[in-house]
Amino acid sequence: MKDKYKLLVVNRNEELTGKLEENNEAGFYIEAAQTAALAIEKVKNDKYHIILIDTDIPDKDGIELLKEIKNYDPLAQIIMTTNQSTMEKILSSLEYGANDYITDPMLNLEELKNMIDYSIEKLERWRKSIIDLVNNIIL
Amino acid sequence: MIFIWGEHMDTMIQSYMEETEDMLQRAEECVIRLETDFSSEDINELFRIAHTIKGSSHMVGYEDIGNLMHKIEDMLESVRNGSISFNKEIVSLCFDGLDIVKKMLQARTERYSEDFLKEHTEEAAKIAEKIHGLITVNNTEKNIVSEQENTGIVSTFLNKKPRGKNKYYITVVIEEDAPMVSPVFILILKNIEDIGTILYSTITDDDLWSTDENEVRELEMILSTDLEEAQLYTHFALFYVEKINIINLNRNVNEINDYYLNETDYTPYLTVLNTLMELYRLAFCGPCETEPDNKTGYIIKQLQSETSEALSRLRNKIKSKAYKKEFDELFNLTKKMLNGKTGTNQKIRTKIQERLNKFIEILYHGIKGRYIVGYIKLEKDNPIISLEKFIRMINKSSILIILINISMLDILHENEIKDLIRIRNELQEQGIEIGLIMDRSCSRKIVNIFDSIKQIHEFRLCTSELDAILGMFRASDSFQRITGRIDLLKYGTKGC
Repeated sequence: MKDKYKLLVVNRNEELTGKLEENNEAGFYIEAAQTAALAIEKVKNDKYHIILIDTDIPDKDGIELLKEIKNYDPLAQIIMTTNQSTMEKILSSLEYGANDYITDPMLNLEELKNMIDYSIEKLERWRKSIIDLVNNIIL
Repeated sequence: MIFIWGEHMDTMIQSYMEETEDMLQRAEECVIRLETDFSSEDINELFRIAHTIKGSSHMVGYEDIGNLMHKIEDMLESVRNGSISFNKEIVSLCFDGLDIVKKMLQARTERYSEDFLKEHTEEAAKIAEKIHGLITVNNTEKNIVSEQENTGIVSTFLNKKPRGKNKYYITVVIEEDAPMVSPVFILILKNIEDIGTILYSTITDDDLWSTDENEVRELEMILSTDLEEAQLYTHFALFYVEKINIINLNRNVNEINDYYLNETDYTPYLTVLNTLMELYRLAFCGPCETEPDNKTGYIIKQLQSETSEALSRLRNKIKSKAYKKEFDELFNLTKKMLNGKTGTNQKIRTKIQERLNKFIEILYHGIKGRYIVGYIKLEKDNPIISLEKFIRMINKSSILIILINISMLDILHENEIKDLIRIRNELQEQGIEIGLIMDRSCSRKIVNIFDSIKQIHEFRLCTSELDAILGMFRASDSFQRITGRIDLLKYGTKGC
């Protein structure tokens, strides 16, 4: 598919990536990054539409990574994942522009997929405003 | 003026002494000639010497000598511009002035007592006063000062007639910790005075006498000389010179970079591009693990003979030979791959792929902006206006690909996107492929714009120029368009 969405899963283990690949009916192009450093490298070298960031990554606080990526690419749609939720994590994720926040994503895969769909819709709305502007000008 | 230069200053002073003595000798010869015959050449020479000694004396802190030479210089300038007429009094003042300067130098070299030096300094001041009187009495118009344009040390060098059969572009960088830069530049200028002429200098007289703390530490010049490059370095090896770079500008050295802008070299490159694209398709997407294909074998033979013929038409024989060698190797490997057994095929294929990528890169840099591929890097201000200007300028009948580097842009506004789409469409109608280059530093805003509109207006976005070219080789639509256009240009028909 030509206009396949690119999804990046930032998580210290690959189980979630595997799970998403098994259930990839929408045909996303899925990549994984086990560290924040690798995630940043990938985001700078390529365009990812949806990024799942685990709050517990080895080399950086997940919230810090959220801030950094959002700052670099505001159109990247970010979903925070965690296995141990805290009030601080929830509020910070919200504050720094994550679309959604999910606890135990492996156990709540359907909910995560709904969140991804929602993110795609949101992205599509942003895209549409750009396309409309360009098209209106052309017409 | 206080100098704390230590041993470096000693060297500087020694150099100053030697050069000043030489110049005084030459000045004296001029005055002797002037005593009997007036000549403006001698006046000019004398003026230049006075000017140089004035400058270098101030630099090494010998204010007394500098001041006297300044007066002599003013007097000679008045003679040059006709505000005072040349007479015996001027000759006599010149003799007196040169004589006392010699004595003052000697007093310093032989370390005479301060009193002795003071005596000379006072005498020098008296001569300076006399000269001043002479100028003021005779010069009823305006007083001419010597610091006019075209009379400084750099201008004096630049005004000389070029001599020497070689030309070099020389960059000299002065160390950060050099206490003063101008004396070093002056010494460099003095050092090269006898070996050639300066045709261009980035340092002006104003820079030399500037009191600005952020002194320019780099001097770039074009030197015309008979010396060979290897002989030049010695003349620049001075204290505080950090590095020097010499580029030989001679035609015979640079001929290899000549580009012939007419069709003679352009058409062979069309064949070269076509062959590369075909080889690329074979190596990356061609028949794999199949039986030897007679048709492919025939095509390869055909391509090889066409390429060899095209390369023989290139006027640059060194390049032509190098390209031919690489192509022969690639053809041999391709034939091997086509005839090889299943197991070895992949190995050869990988080898061809690596070689091809490298060779395409070399060839790309050889033709970029010259033949076939147009290249422009857009600036932040008015990117579309400069793009349109560029497109108007290029010869569209010989350009197949235009690469536009947009890495410098922060954003493209809606009107600019609209214009870009229009330009892309217009160019595509004329058979020209467009590639956009955005390196890693590129603004995410731009990436997001193109990512958002790609469903309706797809642009080829690449992180490097080479990626853009290879992307066009890989994508079947642009591959067809480019090879079709090559056929059209070569044979006047599409496809063969």
